[in-house]
Amino acid sequence: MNIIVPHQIRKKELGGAVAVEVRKLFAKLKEKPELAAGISAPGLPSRTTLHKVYATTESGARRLLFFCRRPMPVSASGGAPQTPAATTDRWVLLFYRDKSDSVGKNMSPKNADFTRQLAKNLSLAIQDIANSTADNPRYDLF
Amino acid sequence: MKTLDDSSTKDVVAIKRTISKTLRSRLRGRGVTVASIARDTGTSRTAIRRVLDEDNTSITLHTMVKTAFSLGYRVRLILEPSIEKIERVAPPVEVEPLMRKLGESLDRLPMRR
Repeated sequence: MNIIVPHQIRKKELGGAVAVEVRKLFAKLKEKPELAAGISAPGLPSRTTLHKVYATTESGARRLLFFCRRPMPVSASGGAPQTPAATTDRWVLLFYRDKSDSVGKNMSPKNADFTRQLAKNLSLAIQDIANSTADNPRYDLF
Repeated sequence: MKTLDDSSTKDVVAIKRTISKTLRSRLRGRGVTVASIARDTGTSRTAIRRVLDEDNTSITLHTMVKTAFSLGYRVRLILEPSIEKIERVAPPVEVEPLMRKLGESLDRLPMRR
C-alpha cells in the first residue's frame, strides 16, 4: 500500500508538515492493511473506496479519511494493463481531523460540512496528482 | 475492571510480564535479596514482590521505577499511536464525479520509490 499526501492537503490538514505522530500512524496503517479488508463500496466508481480511520495519538483522538484506489487488474490474456503505473493500493489522505471537529465527528453525507469540505479537498488532491511529474511530484509518498 | 479481551488490558499484562521477568532475572544474576532492595528503595518487601510478580499489574509507577533503578535499570515509556478501526464511508452523490476524476488521475500517476 502507498499512502499519498498531496501537498495542498498537507498544508490544509497537517499544517504544512507531516509530523512524527502522523508518520507513525501511516506506518501502523501500512502494517495492518487487513484492517480494511472486506470493505466493499457499492455505488462508488470501480476500484475505489473511502476509508475512515479511527486513531489515537499522543495529541488525542483523530479521524482520518482516505481515498483508496486499487490497481487495475491484469487481463486474463496476460496483456499489460492500459496504464502500467499502479501495482498496489494507493491511499490518498483527504482529512486528518480531531474527533470533535465539525468534519471529524460525522463523516457521512448527512453532514453538510463534511460534504462541502470533501468536495474542496478532492479538488485539491486532483490538482496536485494531475499536475505531478516524475521530476516534480506534488505529493509526499509513504 | 476490564476483561482480558480488552486490548489495552493485554498490553498491560504483556508490559508487566516483560518488566517482572527482566527484573527477576537481574535479581538472581546479582544475588540480591528482596529485603535488600526494599531497604534500598525505602519500601516494603511486599511491594517489591508485587513488582516482581508478573501477574500482578496493581503496582505504582513509582515503586516499579525505584525497583528497576536499584537493579541498575532505567524505565522509559514510549507512547505509540494506535488504530482502532477502519470503516467504509458512503460518499455524498455530489462528489462522485470528483472521485472518478481523482481515481483516473491516480491511474495515470507513475510509480515512485
